[in-house]
Amino acid sequence: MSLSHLIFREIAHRKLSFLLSVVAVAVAALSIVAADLVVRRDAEVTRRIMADKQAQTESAIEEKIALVAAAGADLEDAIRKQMKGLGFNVLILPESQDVSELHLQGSLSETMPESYTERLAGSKIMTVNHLLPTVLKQVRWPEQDLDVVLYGTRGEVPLMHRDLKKPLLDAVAPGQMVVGHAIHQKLGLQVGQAVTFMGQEFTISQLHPERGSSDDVTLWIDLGQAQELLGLQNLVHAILALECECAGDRIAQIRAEIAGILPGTQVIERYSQALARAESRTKAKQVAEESLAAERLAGEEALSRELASRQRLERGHQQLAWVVLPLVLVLAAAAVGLLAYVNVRYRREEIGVLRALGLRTRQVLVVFLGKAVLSGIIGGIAGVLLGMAAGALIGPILDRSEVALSVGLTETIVGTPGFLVTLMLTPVLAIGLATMASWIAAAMAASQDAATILQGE
Amino acid sequence: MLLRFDQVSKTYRGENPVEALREVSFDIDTGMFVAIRGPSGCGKSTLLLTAGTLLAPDHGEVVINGERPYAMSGDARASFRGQQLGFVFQQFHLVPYLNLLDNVLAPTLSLAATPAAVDPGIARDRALELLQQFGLGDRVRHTPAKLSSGERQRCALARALLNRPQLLLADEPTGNLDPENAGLVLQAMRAFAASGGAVLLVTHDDRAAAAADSTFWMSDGKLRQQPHEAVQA
Repeated sequence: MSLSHLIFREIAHRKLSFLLSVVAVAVAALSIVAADLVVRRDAEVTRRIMADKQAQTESAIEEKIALVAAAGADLEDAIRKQMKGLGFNVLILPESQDVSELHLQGSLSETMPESYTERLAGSKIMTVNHLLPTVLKQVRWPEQDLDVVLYGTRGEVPLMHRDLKKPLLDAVAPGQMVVGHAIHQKLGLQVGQAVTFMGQEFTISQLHPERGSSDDVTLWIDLGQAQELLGLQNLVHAILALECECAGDRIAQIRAEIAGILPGTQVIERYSQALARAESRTKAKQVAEESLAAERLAGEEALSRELASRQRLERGHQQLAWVVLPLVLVLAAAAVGLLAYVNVRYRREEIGVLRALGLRTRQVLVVFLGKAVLSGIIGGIAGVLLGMAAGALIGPILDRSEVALSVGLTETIVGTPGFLVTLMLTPVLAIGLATMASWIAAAMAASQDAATILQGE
Repeated sequence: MLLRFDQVSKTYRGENPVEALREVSFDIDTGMFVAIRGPSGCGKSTLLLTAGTLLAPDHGEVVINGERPYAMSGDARASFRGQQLGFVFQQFHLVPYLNLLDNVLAPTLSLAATPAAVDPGIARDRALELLQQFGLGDRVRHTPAKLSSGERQRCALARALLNRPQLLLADEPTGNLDPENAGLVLQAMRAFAASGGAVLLVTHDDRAAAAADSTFWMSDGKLRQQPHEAVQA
């Protein structure tokens, strides 16, 4: 005969009372586990949603970057072409050239060796990015009886000490001609049409749109052919030195560098045009950056909104848990305590007899607390198992998001160290709850006066 | 001397204080079967519980087998009670969810974790022997609810004797029994006294009192010896 035998026999005798105690403890344990599981599910769902959204946003931004880069490249290219039409940053002219002729007539008369271009390209000049040797002269198109500006260009001369850059000015192939707007409008010319200019045959390769400048009355042909037509073999009127960043104080540096390499030349600055180009590029860059920033901001705002929404939901569930959980624990403790009290009242006679038989106070306590511990163990374990099932069922009901409904979410959480701690601690808490709730009743039983009980009988 | 009451008094406090024991003195030696008679409320049960170390007196001294139980701590007194005393009650007070064997073995709980602890096998054999002795050998697995009153009281008697107590305290043990079973119980108590124990019986039953070696009459908390012949008459 042992106290545990006495406890088990009593439990077997009063099954319903014990079962109700177990259920009360199980409900408490169930609530703890289910609440923790739901809260952890919320956090995991939020983490997954935010990770997905973050990835989507980053992907969208990557796409945007690619789009902006492509658009920026197109824009820059267009600007480059526009800049070409607008003019050049710097013109290198023979020192003897009267600049007023250029401004008044749109043509030049003084020449310098074409080799100056190679000399400049072969130097280590740092301020100039592009070099284009040109001839530029107002002539009569005898076959059409029309005054035009003849522009001979051979395209860009590569700077020897630099990596090859994309040429700013497309070269015109020998035998081809590019025609300004006023000319082709007046003569009704078409692309592909063959024309004769100063006795030579040309095919029209391009017709320029209206630019509102001397370009509208200009014909572009290959430099070599222009030199031949004008009798200027190996001579050029000007070298167009294109400098993207030639605004501000660097002009003086460009002039000084060119003067050191090409003595007997003069440099004319086209300041406003260069600035416009720089501003346009800056603007293009700014537009791209603003677009990206707007995309990023929109993405971040969407993430913030989602996060705030999820946090509201999580807070709601946490607040619910904080309200319901203590209530359930208190009710469960009250139920266990009440059942224990009823049990003690019901076993009053038995307590008196056991004391008369010589059972010590501690042994009477063990008889009642042992039963409580047993109900805590069984209720705790049952509560943990049921709580996991309840949490898995309640979670998707409280959170209808697609991620929350995904398969395997609960299993993921069950495997986390934090939840494992909950699973291990909950039975301990359940035992503690059952023991504490039964303590008063057990103490009452232990303090029963056997004489009073037996006299009462 | 197995039991000595020396000027023992006990008063129940309250709105109407009751002097249950008034300077009660008596001795019981081994081998004696003593009966105490008296009207209801005269203090018989108080005397029995005081002798049973369950109710401390206000004054006087109780000595059992040379020990003063009321000078002991609660737990020590409980162990002492479990080893030295056996109780039989009118209402039997068997534990309803234990079978007869477990009920008889219940007193071994008081010996657990004490120097007097008994080997479970030996205790079981002793319990079965007692149940056999009281004619309950074929009912050991039955719960008290399935027994007659006589069987229950015999079981209670077996329980009281399991730890081989020195003193058996019986409170109206035949009160709910038919004459046949009452005779069996009284016979068993006599046998216990004859074997070297002592019995203190509290009863209204003249026949039970007549079975005793000596009889005391109790009235208003006072005890006086009654001639044995008067009881038998």
